[in-house]
Amino acid sequence: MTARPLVTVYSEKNEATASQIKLPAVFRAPIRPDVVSFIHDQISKNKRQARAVSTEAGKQSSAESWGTGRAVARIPRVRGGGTHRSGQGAFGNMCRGGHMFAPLKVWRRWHRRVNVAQRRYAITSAIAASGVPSLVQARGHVVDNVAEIPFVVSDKVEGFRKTKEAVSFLRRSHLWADVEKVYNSKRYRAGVGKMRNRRYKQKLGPLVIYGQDSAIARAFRNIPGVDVLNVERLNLLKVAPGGHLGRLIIWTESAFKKLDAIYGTPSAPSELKKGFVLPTAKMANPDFSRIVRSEEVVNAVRRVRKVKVTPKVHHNPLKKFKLMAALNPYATVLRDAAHKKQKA
Amino acid sequence: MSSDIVWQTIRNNSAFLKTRRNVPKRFSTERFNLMAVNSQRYNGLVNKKGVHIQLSKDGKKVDVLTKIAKNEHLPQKSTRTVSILSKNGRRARNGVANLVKTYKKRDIMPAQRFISQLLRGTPKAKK
Repeated sequence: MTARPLVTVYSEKNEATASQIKLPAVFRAPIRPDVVSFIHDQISKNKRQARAVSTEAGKQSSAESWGTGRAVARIPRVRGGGTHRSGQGAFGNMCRGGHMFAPLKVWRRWHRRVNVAQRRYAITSAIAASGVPSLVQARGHVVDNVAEIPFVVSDKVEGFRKTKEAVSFLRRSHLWADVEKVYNSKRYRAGVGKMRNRRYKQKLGPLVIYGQDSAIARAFRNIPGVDVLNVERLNLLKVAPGGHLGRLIIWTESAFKKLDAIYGTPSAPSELKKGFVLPTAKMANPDFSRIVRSEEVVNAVRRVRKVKVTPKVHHNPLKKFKLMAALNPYATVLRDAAHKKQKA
Repeated sequence: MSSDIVWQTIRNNSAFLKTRRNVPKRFSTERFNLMAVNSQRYNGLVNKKGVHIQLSKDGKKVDVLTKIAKNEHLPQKSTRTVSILSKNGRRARNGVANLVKTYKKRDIMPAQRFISQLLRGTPKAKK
């Protein structure tokens, strides 16, 4: 479906303005959950901090094996006496107080290189998916009363300085239900992360994407679940959180207009990304039912041969005399004789 | 949007998908899914046309919602609601069948089953 309809811009009070923008070509990029999931996985590894076990852990002992002949296992044992520790096993991964198996090293490969072309493929796919209402709903966003998807708002929103303004905008645009979902989902994290400054978990709400740097981030940042991004610096981890497609995105008018310049169209290559051309899908028309019902296919295909199978009904000759007579002609004679006898 | 593509994205991974241990069938709780089963045929998000049945807010009527295919990208305007006033099972079933048969023949049976179950489940109003 490469048709690019006009998208209405809504005012900050959720009234349709006269301005309409042609849907940017990014929204017709192929939707590839496999690519997005993989690339997201790779990119999310890039913010990891190294962790490892101390290099001397479990090795700071002068233990030595007692050798054979002492009716004990040959594990190195702690020397000396006068304490419980003396004679206990040391060093091995199986020993209490010993080093672990394969001690963790800081030089583990924490980060992943991701090819620029792949990153761009993933982000365009994620943006395209955000324009499909079914995918946004399936991801869990509450969009039943949103005016249009993709949702484009006038640039007045970029001028917001107060969270109050941001909240009233979200309420008016029927996006507050999604934020309420975030409020209701706040819960304790399971596990030790609780004591590592990651006490709470909550769902994600809408993502606001703006075109010009302004104070908009400050207006929206304190609303739980809401993220704010600049169009020119989109983050796959925010556009497709968890590697899942369909985040609810609120575009400002200037951001929406910039998309064609950033990602290009089939006719005009991207101005900002050198050598980048929008990915094309393998199938121009992926709609199976339309293909099957199309003129070309219908004309090429022969008609369905519906063989009507009517089950043959077998009647009982003992109950249906005509059938009995057909099977046994003498039955007629017998019947007439019986009738005569009755009359007599 | 092609229902096939969206289905391939959603079939294993959706906020509405319900899977449980020892339950081999997967259920799906989105609107417009009359069988509540996770399948492309009955899925409420993936198909352009869909029928949903629910009790009206005041609880006195049964609302039949249908998707307006043209307004897929305008969620606010994408459903049409017709109310069935009768809560009598037989009348409601016939009412639903009449509403649905011109819209989506395949959904007549699921809609009838759904409305019967719905009315069975609602407590009868005290006279």
